[in-house]
Amino acid sequence: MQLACMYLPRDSIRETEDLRDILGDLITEDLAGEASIIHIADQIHLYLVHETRLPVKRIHRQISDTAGTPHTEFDRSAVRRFLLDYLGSGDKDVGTTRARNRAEESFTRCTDATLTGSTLHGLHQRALSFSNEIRDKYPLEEHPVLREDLTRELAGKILENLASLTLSICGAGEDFREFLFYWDRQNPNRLYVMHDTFETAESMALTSDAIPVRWEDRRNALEKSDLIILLSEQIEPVVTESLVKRNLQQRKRRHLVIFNWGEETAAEQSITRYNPVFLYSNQELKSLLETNRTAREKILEKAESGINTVVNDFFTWLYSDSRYRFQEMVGRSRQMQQVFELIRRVAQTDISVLIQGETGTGKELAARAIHHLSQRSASGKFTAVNCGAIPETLLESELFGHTQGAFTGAHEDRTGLLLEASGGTVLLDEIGDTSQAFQIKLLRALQEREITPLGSNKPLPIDVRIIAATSRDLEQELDRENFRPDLYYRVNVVKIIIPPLRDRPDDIIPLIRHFMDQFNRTMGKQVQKIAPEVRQTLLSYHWPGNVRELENVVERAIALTLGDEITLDDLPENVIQQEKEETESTDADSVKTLEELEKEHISNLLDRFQGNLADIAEKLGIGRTTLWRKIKKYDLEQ
Amino acid sequence: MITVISVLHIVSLVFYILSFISFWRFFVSKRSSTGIRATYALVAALGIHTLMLILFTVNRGYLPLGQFAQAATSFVWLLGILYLIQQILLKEREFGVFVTSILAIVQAITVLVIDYQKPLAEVLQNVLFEIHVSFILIAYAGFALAFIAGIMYLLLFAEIQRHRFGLFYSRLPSLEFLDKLNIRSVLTGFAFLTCGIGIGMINANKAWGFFWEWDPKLTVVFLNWLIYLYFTVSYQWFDWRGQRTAWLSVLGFVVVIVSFFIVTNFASTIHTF
Repeated sequence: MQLACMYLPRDSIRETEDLRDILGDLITEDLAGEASIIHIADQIHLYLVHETRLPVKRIHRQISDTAGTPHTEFDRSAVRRFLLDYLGSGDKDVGTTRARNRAEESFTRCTDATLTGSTLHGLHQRALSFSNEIRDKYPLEEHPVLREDLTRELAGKILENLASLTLSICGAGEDFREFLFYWDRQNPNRLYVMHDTFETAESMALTSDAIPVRWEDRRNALEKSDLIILLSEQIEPVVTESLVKRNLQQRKRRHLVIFNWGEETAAEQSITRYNPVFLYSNQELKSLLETNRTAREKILEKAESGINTVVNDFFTWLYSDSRYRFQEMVGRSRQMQQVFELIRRVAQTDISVLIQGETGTGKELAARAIHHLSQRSASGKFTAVNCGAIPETLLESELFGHTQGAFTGAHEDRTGLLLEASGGTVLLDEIGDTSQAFQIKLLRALQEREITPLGSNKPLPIDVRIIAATSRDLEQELDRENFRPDLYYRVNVVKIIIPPLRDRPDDIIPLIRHFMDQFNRTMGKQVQKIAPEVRQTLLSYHWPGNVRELENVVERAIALTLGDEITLDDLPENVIQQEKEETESTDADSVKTLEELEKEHISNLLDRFQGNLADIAEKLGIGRTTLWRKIKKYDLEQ
Repeated sequence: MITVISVLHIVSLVFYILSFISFWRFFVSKRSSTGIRATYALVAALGIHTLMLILFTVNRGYLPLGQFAQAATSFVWLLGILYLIQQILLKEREFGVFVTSILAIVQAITVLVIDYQKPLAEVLQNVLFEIHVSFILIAYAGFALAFIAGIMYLLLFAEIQRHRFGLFYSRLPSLEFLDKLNIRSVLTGFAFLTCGIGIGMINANKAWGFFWEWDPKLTVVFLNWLIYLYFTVSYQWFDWRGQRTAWLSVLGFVVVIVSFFIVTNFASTIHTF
């Protein structure tokens, strides 16, 4: 496992698309590579994860060509950097939630299934909780590093109650908006805003409680203010000595605080002579911010041992099998990583999900994972109903409930499952096996968010997330008119396809390990090894029963084996049988001659191009006559 | 009975010291659980102290105001109560450490010098005298609070001006708050002091036959009254605030200490204490 962090100048990579271009190599490799970019104020950190160093090196070279040689760190220091990025270390807003949100945001932009995978997600989760932990544990708040926070902090140490304050903000530029909305949130008594262009002040005041003041009328507002914030303004024409005098006379017994983020002038001297006037010049404020930043970085240095613990934990996790674990599922392959990513994303919302996959691929586990990762895991439980296994009539009363006497045998009221599972998630498995009549009822329930129990005419509201699953291809069922299209479009907002195990051989070994651990535990055995030929057999088997079959094979093997190793004798007949057949068949017609191959190839092309010799000759890169001669030779003319 | 009273006196001192230690630890650590514990210790100390003062009054038949040590322990009790009320109203524990340090020191002095057996002078056995001393003590408690607010104001002011944010910056309330506390305490104290002196003069006329005498004690008290008069006038008419009022409060209380502790005990005066 290779983990690298490249420090790039800002703007050398802009969006995910750029990233994807650069990372083509990393992504197309057989084994999944991962990448993410974290934006820092004046830098971008590109994180790469790959099994081998080669593609990482190649990307390094590629970037060097366009953006200059990036500074690169590997493994432990790369992981450290990742954690520190989420704390904004080395940046202006070190240790603020703003820094964390920015890192999180840039990570989320890359959470395209082709870019981030389990390694980076694991790191991301750790970085998030680590940055929260640090901010809880250490008094970072005491050293404000954002301009708005600093002004509030200083003002709060001088003026008694910020909510009874009258304050003025005057200036121009982007800061103006930031300061305005920041102070508006503090709910001051009055907030006067003066902007170069009155319209700007007016338009901003619309979305806040601020009072826009014309530039000509500023004197009046400033004389009433307890706190004046000047942005990119010279102090002199705005705040003069006489204005300060008037201000102090008008407002009895209040200290006056002035923050001057603009240029410094001689007027400052004359103003600070007045006793209860506190004037902070641009230079002072900047040096205070700098001091606070240094203080915060020092605090982060103190957290060093904490970082090391997290880094160690991360590597332990990375080199263990558990990194392939996602909730109750296991998967190393690219396909499964994509499935996991999709699950992570749909779990955040209540969106309808259709899970499609062959029998034994783990559709229920996927649904469980969605439930556990969603808000609903706190408010309700997960219920699975196999629609194919319950007789039609029973299924209806099961889900919707019935009243006493609704049908023969209904001796008492029964609450429907959909009502019982309120607040939780319900998986309707094998939804493709249901009748049209049932589908209509289900659609109604989904759309109106209410159910009507059998024998009742009073609809009851339900609050469940419904996940549908099927092993059939529902689109085919649509064509055959076995499945109602309206219900199909209702449940199929997001489709998660779990590929069959034979299509993702990468997962077989991690799965075997997972089940070995599990059955060793339950059976109290110590089987740790797998014979090489067993490994070979299992990898080439086509697994019609998918993961469930693999689970049973491993369970059987662990139960039967006498030593601490699974041998070929411990595998069921059919698994070995297929393996033999395959080897025999490849042995029999084994090596084809080049001529045979040529004949087969041309024959195929003749079918595909419907006998158009000119096209075929061009594709094959040979002359038309040559082709014609070969057709003659192999007797391929139709 | 006297033994019980003196034991209670010492126990209350122990609790004042405990409360001081807790307030100090709270000031340094800023843990609110420590602060709550400190308040409990202060409440316990005041409770025991109240019981002791009641027992004293019942036992002796007069309020514990007749001697320096008795008046001083009453002052401790008054200041403690005043601070407790203020803490409940303003939810501000930061100056607990300053207040309880004064409480512990003065209470310790009274434990050392108090004499329960000494009979009360005849001239002092009247209600007017008790009102006079009570008023003066309330005024002193107010000035003590103003003194603490003033000191904190000056410390915080210095840190803010020098942009060196240390121990006090992160712990003390805002300058404006301290300023207000200072002014309110002084104004209240000044009102009580003026009334107290007036009643004392009536008393003096009864006992000695004259209203005023330029005796060392009375001179210092007059000086004290002048300082707080100056404070009040400059606040009302000249809009003084901030640093200057803080300095005045500090100065005023220093004079209080001189008149109450030093002049009473070390200068010869016709005024009993």
